[in-house]
Amino acid sequence: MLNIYDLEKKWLTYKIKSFLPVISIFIALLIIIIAIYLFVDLKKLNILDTTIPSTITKKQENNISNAVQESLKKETPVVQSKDISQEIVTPTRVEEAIQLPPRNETPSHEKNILEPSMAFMETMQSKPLRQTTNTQKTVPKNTVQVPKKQTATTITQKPQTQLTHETNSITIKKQNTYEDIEYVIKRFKKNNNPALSLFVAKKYYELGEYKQAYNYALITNEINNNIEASWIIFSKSLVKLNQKAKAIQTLQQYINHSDSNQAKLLLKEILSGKFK
Amino acid sequence: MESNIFSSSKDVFLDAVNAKDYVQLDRVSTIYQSLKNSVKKPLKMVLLYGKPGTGKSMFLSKLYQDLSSSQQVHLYQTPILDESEFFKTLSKDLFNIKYIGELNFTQFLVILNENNLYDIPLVLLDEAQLYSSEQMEKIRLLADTRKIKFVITLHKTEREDLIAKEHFQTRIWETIELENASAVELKMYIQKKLMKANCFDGANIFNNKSVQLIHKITKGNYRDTNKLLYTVFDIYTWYSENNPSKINTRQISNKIIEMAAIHTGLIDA
Repeated sequence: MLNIYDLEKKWLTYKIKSFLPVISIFIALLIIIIAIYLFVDLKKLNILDTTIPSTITKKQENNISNAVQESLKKETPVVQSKDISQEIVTPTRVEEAIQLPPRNETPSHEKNILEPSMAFMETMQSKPLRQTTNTQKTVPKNTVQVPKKQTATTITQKPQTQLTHETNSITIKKQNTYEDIEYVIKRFKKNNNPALSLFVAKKYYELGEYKQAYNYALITNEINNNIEASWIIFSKSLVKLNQKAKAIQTLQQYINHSDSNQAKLLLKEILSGKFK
Repeated sequence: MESNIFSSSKDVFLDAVNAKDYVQLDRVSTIYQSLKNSVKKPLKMVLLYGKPGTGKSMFLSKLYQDLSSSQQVHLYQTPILDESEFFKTLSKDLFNIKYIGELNFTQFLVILNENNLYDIPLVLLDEAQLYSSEQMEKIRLLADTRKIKFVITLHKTEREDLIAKEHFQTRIWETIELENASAVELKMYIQKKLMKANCFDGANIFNNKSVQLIHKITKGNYRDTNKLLYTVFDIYTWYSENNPSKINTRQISNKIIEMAAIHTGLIDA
């Protein structure tokens, strides 16, 4: 007697059984193919490993050269745009670019870079001289001791009031100068060059940030106390920060020490009230 | 209606040896013709051998049916294993002598010599491998007298090969081997068998693929094929009666063939 339901079940198991070898063969083949693929891949990697060292050294050289190049770029902002655009495209040129500036010559680069900023400083110094020659007013104030904390509260508003009077074109300039200042500060942190800190102080003074100008002038004086421009900025910043007495005292001390004409002129202007 | 078709088709494949069911295939007909020719020759013995289910019994049955009208032919499908009974049966069938009591080989030889027949009678012995070696030896001696002609069938196994070697190697004049059917022959066999029984719908549902599957399962063995197809139509009958939506009456399903093979033990599930 036929039991169809039982037969159907048996048939199903038979079918599964009959497909098992096919499936197992397929899986085995798949595993073999994957194994071969991996083996070939590993072989390729091994081949690459043997060949890579030379290429790596080249890459490393390139990286080093890039790093050097970057550092050079930072140190020579004028050359920056020319080198980057060309040298990234062709690594051979990068190498050439590295070879060109020898390491010992880096200080000369710094000197070159600082030259324009020093010129700017000179112009800064020259302007107040012309103004102070005409007017002389004495406003004696004996003792003024200004703690640094107090200046912090007064400084924040003054630059803002000044900036509001400036035109749009000036604000654009300001943005650029801020970037420049940041860049110079970074450099200053690296090498502690007083010329750089003086440049920052002057820039901040120019931008009306007298507290920053005062700080950087102070730093410059700590590094080198014989820079006339630095004492001038320092004193001017003090006046702007409502510490006129301190400024006068500082200038007097400096004049006694160096007999600086610019310092004398500035002292006169402050005392006469011409410089506020 | 459909169940009737399947039911009648099922009956066609009942495993029964009937000369009427003999299916004439090209190769089989050639072999049969050569067997008929061998019988006409003055041979002492003809050995028909092959694997079980290759149609040996059917051949003997067909030969008996074809020759019985023209000459004295006696077919013994079931072996008579008792020696006395064997000779008594031969005595009765060949010479119409009813012997009472035991009849041994010597007594039968006396009867044989006393009753000379004009036509040499043909004795067809099926399943001869079941006879004992002593009895087979006596059958050989009877054939040597040239007064009885024997056609015996043997299963082709190692043991039966040995029998053939020991007893008949030098005495047999003709040996005919029967083999399993090829896929083409099997298709013809199935379709002819069904068409002979007027089961045309049943014959039409077999295509080459399904026959190839059947051939793969049965290896072309006629008996196994009959058994398998009987079960196939039995399953079809069940489905047509209980779940007709599950079957396609235009084409035989491989699933059902395999199910039938599992049921008959041709496939080990």
